[in-house]
Amino acid sequence: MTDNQTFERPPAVPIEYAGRWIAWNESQTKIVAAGETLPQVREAARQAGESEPVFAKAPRANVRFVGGR
Amino acid sequence: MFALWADDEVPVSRISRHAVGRFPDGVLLRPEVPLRIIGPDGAETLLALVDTGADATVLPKWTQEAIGAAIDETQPSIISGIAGQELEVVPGNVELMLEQAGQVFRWTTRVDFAADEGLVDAAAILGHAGCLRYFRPSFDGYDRELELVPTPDFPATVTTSK
Repeated sequence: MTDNQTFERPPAVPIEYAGRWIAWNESQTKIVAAGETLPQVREAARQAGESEPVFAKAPRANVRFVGGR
Repeated sequence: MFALWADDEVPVSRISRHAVGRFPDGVLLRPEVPLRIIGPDGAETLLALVDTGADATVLPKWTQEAIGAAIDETQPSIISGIAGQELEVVPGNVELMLEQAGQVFRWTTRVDFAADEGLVDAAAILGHAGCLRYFRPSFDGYDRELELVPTPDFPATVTTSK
């Protein structure tokens, strides 16, 4: 890491979101929506007032990911 | 122009954190970066898993539809996970953008789109084709950091963010 590089470490995704699609706010400091599908989460984020959500898939809580879906 | 980066590397860094029950401290760290996916009809941002073992860059089909990216449904192919699970994907053309430390890396490339439900544990995968062939990834487990430094054959220019 270069010395002039700074970034905020994101908060941990709570375990209750495991396995779900989530939407962060634009600055990725807060989860603004969650759901079972991307379209659901997109709509929920819009309704929450977030115009530039950052989508993510929270990994399942009891499954370790090793190369591939 | 690219040679300057060897002395002034600009990393793209983010390690996502997930609360889980299977690690001693209850937290799973994942090398994910905010990836902007741009098409003729718009753009969406996803946290994409940087996977140096992945041959391809795989994005959810919903993003292709949302941004109006051109795809070639006559050229489907199969991707496979470590246990041999197979998932059909179709190729498409998009612009990808990574931004960090005041610099923007934006390039046009071919990626694979998979059904959203096929992406079970990650929103998107950044593999060699389409992405990592243009970067030098560095994973620092001690400091919990990831760096992606563009290589000389990065297929676009780097600009300064506003």
